[in-house]
Amino acid sequence: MVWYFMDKEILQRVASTARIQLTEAEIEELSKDMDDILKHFAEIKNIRTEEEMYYVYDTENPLRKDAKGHAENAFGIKDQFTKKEGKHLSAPKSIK
Amino acid sequence: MVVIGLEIHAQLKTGQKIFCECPTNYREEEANENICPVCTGQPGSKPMALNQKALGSVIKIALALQCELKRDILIQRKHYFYPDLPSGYQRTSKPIGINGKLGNVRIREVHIEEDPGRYELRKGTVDYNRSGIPLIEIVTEPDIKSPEEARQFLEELNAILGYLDVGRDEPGSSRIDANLSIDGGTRVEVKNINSFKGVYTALMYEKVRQQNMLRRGAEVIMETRHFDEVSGTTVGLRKKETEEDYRYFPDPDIPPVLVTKEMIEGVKKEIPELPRQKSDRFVSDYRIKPDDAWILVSEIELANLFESMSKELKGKEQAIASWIRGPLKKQLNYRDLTFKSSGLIKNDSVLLFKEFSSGFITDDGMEKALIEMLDKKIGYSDVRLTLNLGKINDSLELEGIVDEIIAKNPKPVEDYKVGNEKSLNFLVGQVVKETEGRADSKAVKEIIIKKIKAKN
Amino acid sequence: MAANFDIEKRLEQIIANIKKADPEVKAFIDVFDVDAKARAKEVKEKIKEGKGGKLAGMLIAIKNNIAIKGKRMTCSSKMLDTYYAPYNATVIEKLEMEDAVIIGTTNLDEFACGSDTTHSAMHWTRNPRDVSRVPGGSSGGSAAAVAADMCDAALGSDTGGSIRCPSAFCGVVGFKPTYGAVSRYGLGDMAMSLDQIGPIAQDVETAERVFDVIKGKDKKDPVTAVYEEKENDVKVVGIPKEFFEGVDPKIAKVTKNVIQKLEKEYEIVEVSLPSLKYAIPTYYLLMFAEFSSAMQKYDGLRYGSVADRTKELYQAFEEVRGHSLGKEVKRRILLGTYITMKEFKESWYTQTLKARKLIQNEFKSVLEQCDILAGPAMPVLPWKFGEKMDPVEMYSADILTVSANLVGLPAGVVPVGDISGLPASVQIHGRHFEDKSVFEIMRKLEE
Repeated sequence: MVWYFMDKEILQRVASTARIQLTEAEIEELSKDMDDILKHFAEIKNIRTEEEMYYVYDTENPLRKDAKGHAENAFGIKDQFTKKEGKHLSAPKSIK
Repeated sequence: MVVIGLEIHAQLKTGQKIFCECPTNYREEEANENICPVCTGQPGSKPMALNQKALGSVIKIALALQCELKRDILIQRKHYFYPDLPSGYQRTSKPIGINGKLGNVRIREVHIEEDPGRYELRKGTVDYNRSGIPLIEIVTEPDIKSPEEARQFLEELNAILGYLDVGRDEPGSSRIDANLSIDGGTRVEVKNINSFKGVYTALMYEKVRQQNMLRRGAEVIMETRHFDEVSGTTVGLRKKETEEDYRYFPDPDIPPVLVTKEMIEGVKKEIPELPRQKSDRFVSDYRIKPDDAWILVSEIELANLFESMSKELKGKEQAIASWIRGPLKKQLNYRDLTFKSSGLIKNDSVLLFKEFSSGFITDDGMEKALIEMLDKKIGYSDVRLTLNLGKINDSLELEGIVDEIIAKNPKPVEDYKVGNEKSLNFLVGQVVKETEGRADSKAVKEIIIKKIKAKN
Repeated sequence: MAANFDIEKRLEQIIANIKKADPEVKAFIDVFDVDAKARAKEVKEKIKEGKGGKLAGMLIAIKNNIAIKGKRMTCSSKMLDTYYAPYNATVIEKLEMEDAVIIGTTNLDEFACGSDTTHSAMHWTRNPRDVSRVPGGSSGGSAAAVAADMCDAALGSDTGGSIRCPSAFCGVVGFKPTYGAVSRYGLGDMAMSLDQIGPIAQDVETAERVFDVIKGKDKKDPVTAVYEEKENDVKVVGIPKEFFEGVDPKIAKVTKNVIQKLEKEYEIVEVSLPSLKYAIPTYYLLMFAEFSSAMQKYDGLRYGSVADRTKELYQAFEEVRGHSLGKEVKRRILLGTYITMKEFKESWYTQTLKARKLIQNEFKSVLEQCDILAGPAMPVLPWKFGEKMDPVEMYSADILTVSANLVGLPAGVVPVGDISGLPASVQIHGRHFEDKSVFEIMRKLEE
């Protein structure tokens, strides 16, 4: 019986969700690598406890008092936009 | 049988954004000015602690909607790719309030989330000034039975948000998604409704569209449709291949915030008397009609106007209520104004109302005065100086004018004689016009009738 | 700082060292000799006037996944090759406030994905102790720069051992603070609940001096809100037997001998951490999941590689991510995406969270019996280039370092001996916020 966690078809779906384009060769290699890694890590499924750890500490996050707003580094940030359109960031169009 | 559910996203009024200290006046600034490393998702940036005022507002709204509050605020990441989403995920909380109610509609939950930036699809431009503005999302159960009920629900919700002073009043500050299905059939989602008013239009259109399809025997497909405000129609979007998997998981950068008793008590103190309670109280304390009361409470400034006027002019409560919900509201609605934004002040309203109810000015005179006050943004005392409004009480004077009008309009007179009521109203209108609103239409009507009868 | 210490001379020396050694070692990505010289001049004046800050005169190299305003923050990736950070990380502000001089940025595995710096999209860094061997990773550049005297100290980041592994491999001191002790604002995310910035230096005292400056609450990283330095009298040192399983016997021997020396001052007890067998899968699966989320922001629009605006929206994203991200990075994103997808989440991600809780509980209970844990830093000596190509093999090398990140504990490594010319190091773990206790033991071992 062949038992696997990852194959080319599943990888295609994962890559689509993660929005990463893969070549045929990459799909071939990655699906094998990833299946191998998952098989090695599968022992984690044996754990039968109930408690899950979401945060490192049990203490609560403080709140931030509202105040007058101020921007920071706007100029430098805009400068890094990979393409601009006036003061806007340029992005691919989406025609409906 | 129509079944409707609503998801309302409303921007919250705060000085700073939800996870950073940027200003929130995104409409006044040029594109990409109110930004920082956090709200533009720069590599290495981290969210700051949750904005306290934003959270307070959500708790306030949850309590006003009679929700149970959860103990912890847990922020999650909702992952998807879109140009207006600077980090590739939206920070959104798990439900903060649940099992609430507004009228007959159950509230499933309310939670807090961050607004993405603005992406103009057709132009291909993005502005991050809006990215990070705090939003509340209110989700109803599918308890709404018609587009009209939806409209009423949203009117009351809007009033509540106004009373709590937590929302922003600008266009586009609320966005609604609506679900509609007929007779237990497929549910269609309509997105991109950008105003409470648009909801009625969108749902009416969608209801009719689905009804027509069913009548034709066609199948209503489960889909997401886009509301086009200009044409008032819903349009089908290109179908997505697969349903989006947002891979929600708790944001490790934002540990939970505990909702303490102090926080809740503090917020509770700030909740004023809400529309429904106020309306009930108006009916019992001031003995006005429930219909009138309900309209008065739709805007807190209007309700306050009624109350202070009623306290000043004892005994005239119903007349005041009728005046506010009638002529005053009519002029406000026509100009798409709230009392708050109209520029009218209580004292002017009192003066105007006094002169009107004492008979010093006529119905038409009162309306004229209101129009002047609203359009020219002046007070009543100024209006009295510039316009001659006093009612004509001298019957001789009136009769004289009536004679003139009857002489000038033989045909309408004849038409009335043979029973045409409209012609009578026309004649009355002419007299009122001639006197620039100073003639009382009721009195004029009687005089005209008397005169025409006499002629016979 | 002694008044006759000449920072400008020291800078000249450092730059000369860089010119001499770095063509082979290749620890640096960018060297800021012009800026550093100007800054050194300023600081020299301040030192003369007796107004120098706590780190006045210290020349520091920074791992290139930490934001320095106006400088390239490549994260050793094609994706950010052209990105100039528009802001400073909090740690940079703190260093500069105390008059440290930042001399350049160092190489890392791409987006910190790796244990030997060979996954950098820039170039390979070589271990100054043996240039045919890896310097460790992912902060390989920082550790190599310190080891080759190309800086006085360096900052690295540690998610699963990325400070401690290269420090051990290059024979220098490396320290990962308690989670939340140092602000992560400005550190490119790898795994949000595991990352920390920490110092690398030739000696413990220097490392501690740097830590003292960069630590502390920061409103820009709310995770630091819980920070509270705890003082403790170290009395008991625990030696977990699992820390020696599967470790190169030569390393085990050197480590045991050195730790025995602590017997003079402390009580040594043997303890057990059976959950360590889940440490590698727990760490890697958790990190994959958080990393895949951290990497969602790279779509070629706001910074870095340029997305093709003429393409259809999602096509543009898929292409830029496909072309600009390296193989190891892609592998980790895809694995992380997979285990958090609806259909797979319960059986993978949720299990990982359970395992993490198990490991945390066990460490916490063991640290009730002892104040400190000691053991070897790495299970193997630095490997030669080309030796560890298989991902699982490489991942397994982190077995001794990942637990500190999973639990959030402070951990430091200090070189204690030589094995055929290659360094062997001991690793010390402490309780949450007892970073000072870790430094105390590290100082003792250094002697």
